[in-house]
Amino acid sequence: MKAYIRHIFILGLKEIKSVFNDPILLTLILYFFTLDVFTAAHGINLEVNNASVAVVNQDHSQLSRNLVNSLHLPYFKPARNITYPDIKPTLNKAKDTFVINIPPNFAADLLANKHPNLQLLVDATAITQAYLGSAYMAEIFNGAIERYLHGMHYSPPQIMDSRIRIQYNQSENGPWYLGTAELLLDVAILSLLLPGTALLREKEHGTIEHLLVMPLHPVEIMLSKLWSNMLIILLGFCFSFAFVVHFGLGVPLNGSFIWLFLGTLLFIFVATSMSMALATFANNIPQHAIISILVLFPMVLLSGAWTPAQSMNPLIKSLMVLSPLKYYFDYATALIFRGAGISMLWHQLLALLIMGGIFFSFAARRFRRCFGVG
Amino acid sequence: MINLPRLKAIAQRELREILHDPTRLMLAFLAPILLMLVFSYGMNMDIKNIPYTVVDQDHSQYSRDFLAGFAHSKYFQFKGNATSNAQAEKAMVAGKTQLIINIPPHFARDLLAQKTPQVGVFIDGTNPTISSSTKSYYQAMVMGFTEHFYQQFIGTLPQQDYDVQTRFWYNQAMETKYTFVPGMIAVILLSIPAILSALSVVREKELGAIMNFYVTPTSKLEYLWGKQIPYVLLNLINLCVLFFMALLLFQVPIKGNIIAFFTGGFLYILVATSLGLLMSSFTKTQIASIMITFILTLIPSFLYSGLMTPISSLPTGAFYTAKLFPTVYFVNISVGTFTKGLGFASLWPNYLALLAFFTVFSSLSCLLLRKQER
Repeated sequence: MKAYIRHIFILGLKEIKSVFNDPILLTLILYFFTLDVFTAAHGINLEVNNASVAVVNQDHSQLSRNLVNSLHLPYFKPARNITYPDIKPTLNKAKDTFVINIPPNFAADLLANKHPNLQLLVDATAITQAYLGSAYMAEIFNGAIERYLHGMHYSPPQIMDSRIRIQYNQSENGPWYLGTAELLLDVAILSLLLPGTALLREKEHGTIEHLLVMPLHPVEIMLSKLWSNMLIILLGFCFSFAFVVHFGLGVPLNGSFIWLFLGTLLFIFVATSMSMALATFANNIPQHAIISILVLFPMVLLSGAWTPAQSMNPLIKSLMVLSPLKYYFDYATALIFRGAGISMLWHQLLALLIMGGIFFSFAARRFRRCFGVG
Repeated sequence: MINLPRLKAIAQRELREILHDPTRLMLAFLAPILLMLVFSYGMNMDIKNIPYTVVDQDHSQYSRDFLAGFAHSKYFQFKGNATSNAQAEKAMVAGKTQLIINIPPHFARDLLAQKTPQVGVFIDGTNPTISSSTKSYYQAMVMGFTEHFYQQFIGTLPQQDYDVQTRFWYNQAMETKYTFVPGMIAVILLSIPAILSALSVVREKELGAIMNFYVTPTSKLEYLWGKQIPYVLLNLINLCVLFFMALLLFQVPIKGNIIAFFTGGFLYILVATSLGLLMSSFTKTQIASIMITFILTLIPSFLYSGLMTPISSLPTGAFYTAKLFPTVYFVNISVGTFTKGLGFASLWPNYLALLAFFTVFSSLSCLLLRKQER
């Protein structure tokens, strides 16, 4: 038993050394845990935010100026003036997503009860902004026109008073969420890529033969690859969560760090075992890379990080039950943002534990068959 | 500068290697199809089925009327009644519900007495994209109820003397697929060609076959382009397959110029494969090459493609980042030809951009690839 552990330990050290011997690889791993999280946090915005607007103002009245000025950040960028013939090229070239067309004499017609029309043209290929953005805009315009007609302090009739409170991420801080999500996805990407590729590299170089002729059990080889890669990723996660996500982006940790750590450890175990299992199906690294894309792309894009999980196609949604990332993502966000206790999250941990068991034993069996001696 | 027979020989050699690895070949064809199926069926950017919980302390006809609106809306999904706010909040912490509507006692009495009863609304802010949509959907429901209530008891709402006419261009039905299906072609055809070609060179470095390049008079450009040609051909087949999948399986008609689509697709594949070659020109190991290609293609090709957020509404830094990724240009071409009905006349800057990427990537690869081992 003691020799067993010693073998696994020494082989793992060798593995870690080989990562440190590849400076480009090391830099890339560092990039994943630092800059990548930062850029993802600040790079994009999934809400209607900063939407770009052009305006064809043919009215030039106080009201039309009010309308243009009523669009403001964070929802809309200051509107750009264009002429009527520019409308089509503007939308064709996606220079702006919204074009407002204020007809001549809009204000005068409004006061004369002539029922004028304000046109809002939307590039509907901008699927995330078209619908909500035009709804916001219509609401803002209604308000501006009502104020113009009925005075500055006009407010529409109200029969109930909805006290809307945003919970947990009260300021609706996008970078908090996106940065955290990116870190969780990065953990998944690295866990799925590193160990399997390391294994196949030994196979391609023939060094796996060296290992197999030694008095080593194939499972020892596998375990050594697992622990060393898990350690690298786990350290990266802790570093990144503390210094990039928590101190850098200011994301509060409302739950317990111990449970976040344990959940991450468990997930990394599941994902690295999965990586090993996948590697046993590939003969070389190019095959493994495509298989990884096939598994990773859907896992990442359908994890619910960017697109809401509840509006997915039911069939795909039920397929996601098989994705460990889904459980980990729900677990970690509940813990970080909503301070959920373990009593609420144990079933995600259980799911991960079961998956880990399955992938690990499956990988171990395949490993013996693919590389082992009988 | 280029010796054609040598170029041909290298291309043939690479092609033969691919053909001798049927698993890799099959994966290279299968992966785009599978990814296209999963994403086009599975992903939905619309936020709907928002899970909500009700705490109804009134149990009157009016509270039921108000809540019935939510039950019938496709944007909300009823997750049950809770007896207290604390109970409902527990469900929210666990991630089971994202909206709590708390109707106070005497809601109906206060409503009829025009005393504007206070309704408690709690929204999970973890993911700000979802919470901001939830807020505006909720407000729309309140507006609908207000109108209904006014008509019943107070008389009609003050009439509007104007209209805001919203026109959704290119995609009147606001269906995600008209953007997403052509957009996914761009996302998929960056990563798959890039990863395949990235491995082709660095593999030789790692396994030693690069010696053939070091010791023969083959020029760098001959070597790189020779390696590239088979992958370009292979992915042109993928381009056609994806094109027909969009047309026939997903029923997204091409309204614009087909030649413009395929010209763009060809250029884009050139760019994607040369991106892969660039990555493999300076990395030493396959794992490093895979990682960097993943970093550059997996997440950015999706986030910075304009599919999630229109480029025009990105913050300045992200705007230029997006411009530095090739995906957005082919998304413009693909969505432009499919859904916007455009041709070369409107899309020509995108072709120039793709050509520029190809030139820059190829020249950089030539600079970074070493003719001799160091």
